[in-house]
Amino acid sequence: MNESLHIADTDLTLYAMGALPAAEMETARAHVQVCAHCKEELRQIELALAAYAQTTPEVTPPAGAKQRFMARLRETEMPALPAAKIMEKKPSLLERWFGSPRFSLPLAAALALLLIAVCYDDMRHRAALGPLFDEVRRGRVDSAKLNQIMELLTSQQVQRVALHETPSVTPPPEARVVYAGHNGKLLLTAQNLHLLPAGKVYELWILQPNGGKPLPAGTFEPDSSGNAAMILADEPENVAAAGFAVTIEDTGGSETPTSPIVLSGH
Amino acid sequence: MDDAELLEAVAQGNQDAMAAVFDRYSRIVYCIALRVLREPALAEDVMQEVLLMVWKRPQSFVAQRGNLAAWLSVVTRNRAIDVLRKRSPLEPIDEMPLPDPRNMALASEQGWMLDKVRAALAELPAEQQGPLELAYFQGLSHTEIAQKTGSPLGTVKTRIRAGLMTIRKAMDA
Repeated sequence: MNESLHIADTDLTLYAMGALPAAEMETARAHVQVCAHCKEELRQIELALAAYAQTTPEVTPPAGAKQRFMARLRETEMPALPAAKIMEKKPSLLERWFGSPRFSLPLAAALALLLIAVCYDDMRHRAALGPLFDEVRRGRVDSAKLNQIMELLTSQQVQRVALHETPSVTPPPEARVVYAGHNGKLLLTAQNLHLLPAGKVYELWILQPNGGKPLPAGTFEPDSSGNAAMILADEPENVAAAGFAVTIEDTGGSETPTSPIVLSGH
Repeated sequence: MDDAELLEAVAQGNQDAMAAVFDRYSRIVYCIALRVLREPALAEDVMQEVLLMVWKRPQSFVAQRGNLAAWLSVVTRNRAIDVLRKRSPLEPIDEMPLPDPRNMALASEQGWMLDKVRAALAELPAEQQGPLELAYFQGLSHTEIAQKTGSPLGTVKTRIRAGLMTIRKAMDA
């Protein structure tokens, strides 16, 4: 191991995995504690390893695992830690105001919205979720739906498809679909859509793997900024999707596409 | 409830919130433990131990607001490797740093990113995939991997590193 300047990348990778011999592990540990460069490199490696671990196909724990866990949890004493210490600050005036029963119901949605908005601040795809925030902000998404949205966004059992216009213009219209074929739940966010004349809507289609007739998956209209969303649309269960497409149809939607595809993705 | 709200509730001893954490993360924790240990009973033990740590020390997550899924994945893998090699934990489990300082609600971005990583791994040549799998999920040292695969030590190190760089590139794409 090169100790002269920085730890070699190959050794730092092995260190992150705990795969260096014991003596070299100690040397690397000591170096990382005092070297900002290697500490940052190690952080990047750990992020990649965490992603690698999370690519493992999900397996449902054995039957009764939750009951056994909850039984053990009830036997496990939590260290006494007052809530105030956990929060590490006194509640603000706003928090006390929101904490009253009168505001308890919208509080969860408001906090979720705030949290999501703040945390997406540095994201490249921040705009992609804009339409979703709008729906939450308008009160069209309750806390139960927020739970379902979080599950859908984090599940491995979904398809994630980005739909683009061809040829593209700047800024190009685009849409993202998250689709769980097994239970028919679908989430669509779109931005930069062209505004439509009165009496027209965008319609989403599920393209079937066998080349069969596209299945209508719901209609949506952009707001004045060109954003749109379909939140937890319920499609038929167990329908496989080879891709998705969007056409422009008459208000109310159509059973079959009647105009050229404006967005598509596979 | 998102993760931050759940953990706030857990920190106040709310067992229902902990049950919700179990529902949300037990599958990923269990599958990583099972991938390492290949023994359902041992994997369940590790899953319980890791999730109980969330119950005992939720304030550390609340304060740091890291990526809970990533933290659980790393901690689970490390603990499972310890069990596999029957050794004491290399690091106290609750002192593992959260690998991602960003807010845990990057759920959507995370899903897209993991899809890209899966696709990149599927394209990874077997000679890179093998050593990475052996090092990370079987806990073999590079010396053991060299012996097992018949490859020179330096080659093993390079291939593990190359596999990891493929993952990093996919994350940044």
